[in-house]
Amino acid sequence: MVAIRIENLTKVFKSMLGSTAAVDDLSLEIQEGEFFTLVGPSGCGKTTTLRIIAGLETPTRGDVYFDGERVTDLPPQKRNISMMFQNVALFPHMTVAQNIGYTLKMRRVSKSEIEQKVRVVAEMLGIAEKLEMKPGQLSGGQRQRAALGRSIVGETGILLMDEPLSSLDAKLRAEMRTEILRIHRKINATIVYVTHDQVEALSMSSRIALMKDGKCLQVDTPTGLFKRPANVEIATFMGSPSMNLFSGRVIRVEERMQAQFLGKTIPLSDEAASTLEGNQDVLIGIRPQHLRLRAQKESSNDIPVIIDVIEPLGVEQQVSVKTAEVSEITVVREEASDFEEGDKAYLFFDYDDAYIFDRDLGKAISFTL
Amino acid sequence: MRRRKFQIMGIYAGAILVVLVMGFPLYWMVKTSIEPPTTLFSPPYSYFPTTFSIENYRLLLFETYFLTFLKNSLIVGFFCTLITAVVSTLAGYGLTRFEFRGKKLIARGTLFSYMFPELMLGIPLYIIFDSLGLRNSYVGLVLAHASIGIPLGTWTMWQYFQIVPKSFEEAAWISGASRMKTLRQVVLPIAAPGIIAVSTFAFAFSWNDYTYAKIFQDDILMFTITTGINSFVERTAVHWGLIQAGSTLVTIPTLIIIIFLQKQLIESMAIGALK
Amino acid sequence: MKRLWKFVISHVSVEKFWILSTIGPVIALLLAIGFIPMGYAIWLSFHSRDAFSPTVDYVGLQNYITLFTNPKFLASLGRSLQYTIVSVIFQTLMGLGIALLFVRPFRGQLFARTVVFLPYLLPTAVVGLIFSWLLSTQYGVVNQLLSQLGLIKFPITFLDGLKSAMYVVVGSGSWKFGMFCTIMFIARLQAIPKSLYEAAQISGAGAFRCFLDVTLPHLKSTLLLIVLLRGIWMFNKFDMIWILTKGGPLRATEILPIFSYRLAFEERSFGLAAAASVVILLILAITATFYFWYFKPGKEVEVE
Repeated sequence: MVAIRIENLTKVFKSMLGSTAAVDDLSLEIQEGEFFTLVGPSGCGKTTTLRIIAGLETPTRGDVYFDGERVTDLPPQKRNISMMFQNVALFPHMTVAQNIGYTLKMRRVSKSEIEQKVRVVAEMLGIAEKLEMKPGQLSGGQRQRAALGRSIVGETGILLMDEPLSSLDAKLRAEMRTEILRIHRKINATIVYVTHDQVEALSMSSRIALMKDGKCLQVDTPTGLFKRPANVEIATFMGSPSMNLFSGRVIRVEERMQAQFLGKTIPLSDEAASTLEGNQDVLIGIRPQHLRLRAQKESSNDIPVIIDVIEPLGVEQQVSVKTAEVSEITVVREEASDFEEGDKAYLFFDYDDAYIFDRDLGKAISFTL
Repeated sequence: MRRRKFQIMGIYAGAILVVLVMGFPLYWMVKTSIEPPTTLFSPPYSYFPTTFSIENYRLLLFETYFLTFLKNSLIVGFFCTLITAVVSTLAGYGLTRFEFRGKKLIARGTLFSYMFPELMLGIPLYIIFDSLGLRNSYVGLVLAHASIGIPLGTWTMWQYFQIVPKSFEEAAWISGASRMKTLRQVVLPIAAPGIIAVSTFAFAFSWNDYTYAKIFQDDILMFTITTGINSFVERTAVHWGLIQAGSTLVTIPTLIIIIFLQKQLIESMAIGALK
Repeated sequence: MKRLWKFVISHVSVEKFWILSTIGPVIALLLAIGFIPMGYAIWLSFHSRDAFSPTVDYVGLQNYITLFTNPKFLASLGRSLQYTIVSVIFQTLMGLGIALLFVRPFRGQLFARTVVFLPYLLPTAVVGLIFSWLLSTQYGVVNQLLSQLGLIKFPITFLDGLKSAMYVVVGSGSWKFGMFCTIMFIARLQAIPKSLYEAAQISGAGAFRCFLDVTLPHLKSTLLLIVLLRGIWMFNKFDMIWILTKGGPLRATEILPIFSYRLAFEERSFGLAAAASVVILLILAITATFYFWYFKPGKEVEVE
């Protein structure tokens, strides 16, 4: 069942410098019960899109449909949705209970029913003892829970979330992420989530729409976006630290295809070769987590490098290495003390983990070497 | 969609109405001043000026003491603003940065003195100035004006300095600047909006004052523009033309201030009075 | 001089020097032109000093008794209260209404706001004169307008009518001072986070409910402060009314400050005038204290 459908959505803002399209001919379908995330760098249009779904902005062109019904002209009050805001937006002069129950009050639900529902929600979120306090007396995490409570008490079926965790510190963010997921599983609502943090997107969503400059670059599951990015941009945006990219060339030598990069020549697998034609300039991409280091050269394809900077990260370590051609290659490996800065080492990796991209167009050509 | 259009139209209609009501008296003042004096006393009046004349202004500037009034107001206003700004800023700074006995008392006292009725100070000041020979002088009026500007100014700067973080100064001290230098080069620029607000209010108050000018000055040469313009109201004849012309001239600097400082004025008023 | 300076520096710690030089001027000035004259005024109120007796005699509470048994004084006091309360209510409502109208951006906003702020920064004297001219019975354009619109048959004697004079005085004051309220309200309204309105809207609140649940609570402390400030100022107002009516006609608009002024500068009874001024101060002080104690306008819980 398609819960939300966006069709050719365009939003143009006029400013003194001219007009910019914050959202550019966007079309999406969000299924019922999904956790759908809009992710992308600042200014990509994700928040504007969410606000149009909410009814807080009107699109210049295009339509929004809920369950097949056109809601583009409906004001937010009539759309029967809930929303969580980046700055919480709890009414400072009302108690937590009054805040959570506000939607029900607007629907003229009886006082006793409001009390009961609010209590149920508060207990679900672990803030039942704070119900009679004002938001100013709660901690940041508790306030977010109250805001979450406000959005689920109405049982609206559609929850919109606009970067709700970006103002929390790292630890709280992780806690709230779990909380939101737990709630999602429990109430089975359709959640549309906006964030600029791709780690958040990857860890929470059932599907992700990656946006840039008002357009949608790719819609896929987290695994799909991560493992099968449609182009270089997506590949480097997803994953932290970003994917390493090396310029290279693919050439045909008699019947075989080969890839040349970092001073080495690697024969391509049949799978990779099947997608390529003749000689071509390419970019080879490898994620830092897939690169490995060893002290001794064990294969002719091992790449000689010098260890530049070692950053301990607890369970892992991030190592910056350099070669004659490339000044910085990022490697993420298990914590070890086998190397020191300035040492010589050898870089190697599993060829299944590499990507080939067209250097001019950026398009992904192959997901393996 | 229709509802929104209604709302917008409603706001525009309301705004137009408000502007008309608020602006009409001003418009009328200006219009009267640029018409020939003879039309003044022959109703009915047309709503738009039909004939133009600068006779009112000519009379005002050359045949009355208006320019003297203007000069007096400017002098008094300038010095009053200067004193108020300096004293208030120093006081505000001292109140927020130092601890000493009686600090709360002084702060409260400042606020309390704001409530003094103009007249209540006016009467004893009249007697005091009289015995000191300060009546009909600039000094007396400047001091009197300052007595109203300083409480409000001090309180505003006090609130303002509370917002300015001390870390700016501490950074300067660590870099080796003396307190005096820091004050001049770091604190003052940051406090500039507050100082501007205080100065604006001090000047506006002094420029606008009628009560004290009336009480202290009875020599016509020492009148300010407020008492001066009122002097055109005599027992036998009211020289409306002169009054309107003078009023128009008085309005012009105020207009300029508003246009350019609108945003800052609102901001600093918000900080000053709402904390 | 140099030796004096050296002496000062060596005996006074740097910190003390700073304290003195920042707080010193304010204290000195406030004492000189604030508290000392006030003290003198209070002292004066217990003495008689007038045109008749060249000497100053101690008369205790006689001045106050004279005042409070004088029906003119009491009438004046009543008028002061009436003027203040009506003015404050009118100005606050007007200020709030205009602020709500102007808070959202619209075309021509700069022009509208300029026109609307101008009255507040005009000298009261000028405002008084403008309205005298506008409302003049013979030469006033308002009368002309009203009769052209067919609303009245005879010109209204705005400033000369016993009843209308008070309305005029309140109205002209509000024309100028209502804008103070508007400025304050706009500043506060602009500080309300937009997301609160959006959260309310999403929860189903219509325009009226939004105003009730989001706008008003935020305005509460501003409202209280404005009412207090305007109350103090209106109670103290002298110049506007003096210029418009000089307290007339027949004392219809004679509020306490005018009463006091006349006592001092027309009848030269400084002692009595001082007593009247002290009464003004006491009323204000008591009201303000009670106000702060009851309303606590300084307390507000902000969550953002």
